[in-house]
Amino acid sequence: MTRLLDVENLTLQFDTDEGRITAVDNVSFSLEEGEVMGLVGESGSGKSVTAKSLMMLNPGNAHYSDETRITLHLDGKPIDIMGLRGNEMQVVRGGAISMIFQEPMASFAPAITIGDQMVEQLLIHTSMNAKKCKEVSIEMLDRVGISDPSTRFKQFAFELSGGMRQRAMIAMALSTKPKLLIADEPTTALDVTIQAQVIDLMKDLVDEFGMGIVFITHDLGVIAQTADTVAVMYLGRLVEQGTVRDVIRNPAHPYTQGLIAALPDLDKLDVPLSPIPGDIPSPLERPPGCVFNTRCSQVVGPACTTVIPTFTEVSKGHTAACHIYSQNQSEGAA
Amino acid sequence: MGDKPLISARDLSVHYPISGGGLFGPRPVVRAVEGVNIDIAKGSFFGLVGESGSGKTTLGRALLRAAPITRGSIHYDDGEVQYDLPSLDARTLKEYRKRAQLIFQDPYAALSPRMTVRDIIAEPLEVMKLTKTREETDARVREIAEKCRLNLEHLRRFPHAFSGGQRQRISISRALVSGPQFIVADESVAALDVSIQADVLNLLKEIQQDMGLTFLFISHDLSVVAHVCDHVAVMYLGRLVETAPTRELFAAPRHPYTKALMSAIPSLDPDDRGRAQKLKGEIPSPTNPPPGCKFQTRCPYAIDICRKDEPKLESSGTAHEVACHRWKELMEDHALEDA
Repeated sequence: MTRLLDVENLTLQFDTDEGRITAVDNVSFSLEEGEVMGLVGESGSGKSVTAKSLMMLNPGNAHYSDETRITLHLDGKPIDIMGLRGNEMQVVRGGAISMIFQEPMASFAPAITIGDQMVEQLLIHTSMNAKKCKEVSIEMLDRVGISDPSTRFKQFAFELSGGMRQRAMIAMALSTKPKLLIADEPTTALDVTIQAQVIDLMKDLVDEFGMGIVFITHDLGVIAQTADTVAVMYLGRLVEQGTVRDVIRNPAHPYTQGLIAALPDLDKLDVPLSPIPGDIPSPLERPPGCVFNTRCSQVVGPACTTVIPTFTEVSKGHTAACHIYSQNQSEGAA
Repeated sequence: MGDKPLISARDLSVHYPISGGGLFGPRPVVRAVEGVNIDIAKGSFFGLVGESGSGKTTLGRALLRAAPITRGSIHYDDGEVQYDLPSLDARTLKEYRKRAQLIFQDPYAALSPRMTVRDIIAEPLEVMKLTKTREETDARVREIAEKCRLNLEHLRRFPHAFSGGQRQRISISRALVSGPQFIVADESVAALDVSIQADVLNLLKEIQQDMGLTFLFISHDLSVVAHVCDHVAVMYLGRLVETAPTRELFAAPRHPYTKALMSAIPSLDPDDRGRAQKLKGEIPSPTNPPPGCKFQTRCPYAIDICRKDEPKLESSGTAHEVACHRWKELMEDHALEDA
């Protein structure tokens, strides 16, 4: 396995009218080539902002901490994304890194044909001429299962159905052969039957192109179906990381456990739904200590409300940031 | 649960005219709901599922008399009053509004940002002139807010200060304040986070049981419906394709569309990948529905008769009804495969 991406100590704050809010707090993870990492979290967890940081797409009121390091390894050569300026960003934006958004209608320009938009980015990011770009674009549309691709190429986004648009979006994102694909809730706006088609398509494309994917979603079922590894975020912090089997079968962090228990399960219709008590706190009122302490049913002591828990390995390659485990560890050491 | 239906619709159709078509030709219509027969038992939590464009929202609105009814009958009978919905005059329609209410999907768009929570909840009381004094209104608002587990101190605040789950509880309070019998909840938890969704679902269920209400719960999410509803109807392109008590439907779905919907739910088991029985293509446009069975363009079992004749909802003597020419045959085949 070859390392593709390293994110270290990503901390991101936004200046707002109501004060400076912390959207991402000291997040670190890495991704291998060909690996699909699921980034799970609810609204306000900072998962989308984290993903946008990888391409420096956050708005001007965003402040990254000095400790933040984002390194993309391109053909063995590390690229410091934080250090890129101006035109240098073009190497990563749409070139080595592509992004698929949740709402494909909002991501296509409404007055430019699908084809022109696909060709435009190929002209910027590759050395192909316009004719070749068109060929490649139509081929990609065909590849993602769009019937009659040369007609679709000349159509506008509003002429396509939701599932078609999302396929076209994927075709566009993949046509530059990116090394890293960021998929931000790519199936959330789709019906389940179409979602199943798109998930299948993405799995096929991973096998074929071998790019790394950061797959952002709130849906643990989608994660279980697509990801190799999972990182769970809550209120700007990572709380658990591990392989998809470990995290979903043996969730270690109380938040992950709560999330899984809150899911309606078709096989357990007699078990009442168990919500996580309380509401997600406002980012303006982040709780001290562990950010989950206001809703946690397993608070172990005063440390939970005062000390930020660090990651502890609960099994090989499976870590959780929770005082339940740090306590056990210190007892074991004593 | 009483057996007598609170709402009973026969051959209900809702067509919307759209622009286009020739100058002298017939005006094209979207057949959003077509020939639906539905009985919603009093005191039931009735689920209506389908993908976008299936007509589930339009059907829900038609039952509230909030969509134009093109054809068919809807009868409402809560034991105290009876209404024949398509023929209600304006005054009686106002009376019906007190008994039938809607909870919307998006708690961010449904609440006026300029009104306090108290005023939002009180508005239906004032509009319908259900209370005489401000004190009476306040008392009623507080009673309902408490029932929906809202913090009474929050009544003076504005909605922007609240999270999605709290806003949805405000929307629910407003729908309940006029003392309705029938509630249509249209995708009422779809915009909520998973950890909050379970809480709102439990609240809806609790309210329905405590107050003896009848719910029509519209959702695209089968696993949510399976958990809260006692009866489910599946819609496709304006038609009901299958309806059954929840347990029965999930234990033995009969319509190929219902089966496909169920298998498309992503499994939580990482080792259970690619098991889904994949449906090809997408839901056709309701302006130009295919002939015969509306599902034939995507159905893996479609044969000649499916392309010609539209199947009617039929039962085998139970509450489980299905509209498919081949369901019996397919059930036998599946039994063989399983054996």
